Amino acid sequence: MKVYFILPFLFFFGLKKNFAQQKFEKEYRIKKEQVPKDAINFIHAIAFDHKIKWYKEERIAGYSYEAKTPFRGVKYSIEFDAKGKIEDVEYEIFWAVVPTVPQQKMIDFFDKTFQKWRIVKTQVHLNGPPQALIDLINQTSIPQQLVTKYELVVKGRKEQQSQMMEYLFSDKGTLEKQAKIVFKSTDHLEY
Amino acid sequence: MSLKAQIILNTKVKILLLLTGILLYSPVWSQGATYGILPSLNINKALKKDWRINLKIEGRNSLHTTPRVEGHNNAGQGYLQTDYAFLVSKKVGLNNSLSGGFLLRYKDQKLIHRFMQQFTLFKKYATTRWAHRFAMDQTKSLTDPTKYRIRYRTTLEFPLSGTAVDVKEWYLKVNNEWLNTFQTRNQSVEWRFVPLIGYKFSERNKLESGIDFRKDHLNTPKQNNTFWLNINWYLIL
Repeated sequence: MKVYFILPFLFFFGLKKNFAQQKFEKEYRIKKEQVPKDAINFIHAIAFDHKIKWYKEERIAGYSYEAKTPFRGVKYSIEFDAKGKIEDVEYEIFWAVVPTVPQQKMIDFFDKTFQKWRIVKTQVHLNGPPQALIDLINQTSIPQQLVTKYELVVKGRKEQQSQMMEYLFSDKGTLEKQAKIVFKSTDHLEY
Repeated sequence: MSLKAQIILNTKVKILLLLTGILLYSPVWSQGATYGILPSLNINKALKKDWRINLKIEGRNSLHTTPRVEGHNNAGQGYLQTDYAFLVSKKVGLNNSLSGGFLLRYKDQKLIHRFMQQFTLFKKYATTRWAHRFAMDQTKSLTDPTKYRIRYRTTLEFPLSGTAVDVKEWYLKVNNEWLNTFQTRNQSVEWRFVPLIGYKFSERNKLESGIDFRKDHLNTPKQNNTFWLNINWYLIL
């Protein structure tokens, strides 16, 4: 009787498509020792009081490092390039605290794009001189020379289809980038 | 970091092994148990307009059965059965889907038919994915009255590296399911707990293994325990 179970397996072993190469893009935890010195020095300049979790993000075009930690009630994500040079600082905020002028421009954009929409996540992206970023996180001053951008994850519905989108807006509310969020497969959670 | 090191060092894996150990050696299961293998092949194919089809082939082999306790319905030994399940799913939102289909079970040289309906919800958190599955099924055979089941399963997926399960990474998956069975005037409750460790070879190819623990007839003195070594292979065509 075992043959009833084994035969279909043998058949499917023959499928070629199953082992097709996939796009290589992943993020994984690393130890502090594996992080470039410049990135470590940047983090040491801030009075973080929780454990820093380090990640390496590999893409086709190269790789980068990311430090994640909570500090004074804010969850920070600090990104560095492959050499450890600071790229930007990101943290989540409430949609309601986005300044009125850019917020209204974004609302107008979403109203035009979708029949129905809602904000899932709002993040601030800051970049500028390293010392200005350190001062901002340490809350020792409010530097003027930082460039602020807003990253939004939006769930929207148009033409009877729901989709999740990621947008990057300037501090004036001008759209700079957009990408559709593609969900990872759920077959092993469903069946 | 090597794959081997990732597994050895991860606290989540240690918790999984501890849970599995407790499950296997707990004196609570002394009422009689079956140990076996439950391999499955799960093939998915996406169609147009958010429709999908799923084919699952699952075999059941018992390797060891503790002495039969009077009145208990132990599963027996050796090859037990093969299931062929076919489901059609439709995405009915960004994070949920409705499915329906049937299962053919070949057991003791007889065919058993089962009709299945399910609704699944998914939720993504910072480092975890959580799924809830609400299901019903109706099992018909020539010899027994129709069996009706209502099921709820919750599944958590944890990446063992980073914040999401990427290609060539390990993950943990934990299933917990409650089943309520009705057959003529009898009703019974079953509990399943399935901690698994998985590896994602590609976006279309995953392999998982772990212990599938089942405790049935929870509301009666005829409780049965089964421990299956699960080996699940998920393919997307």
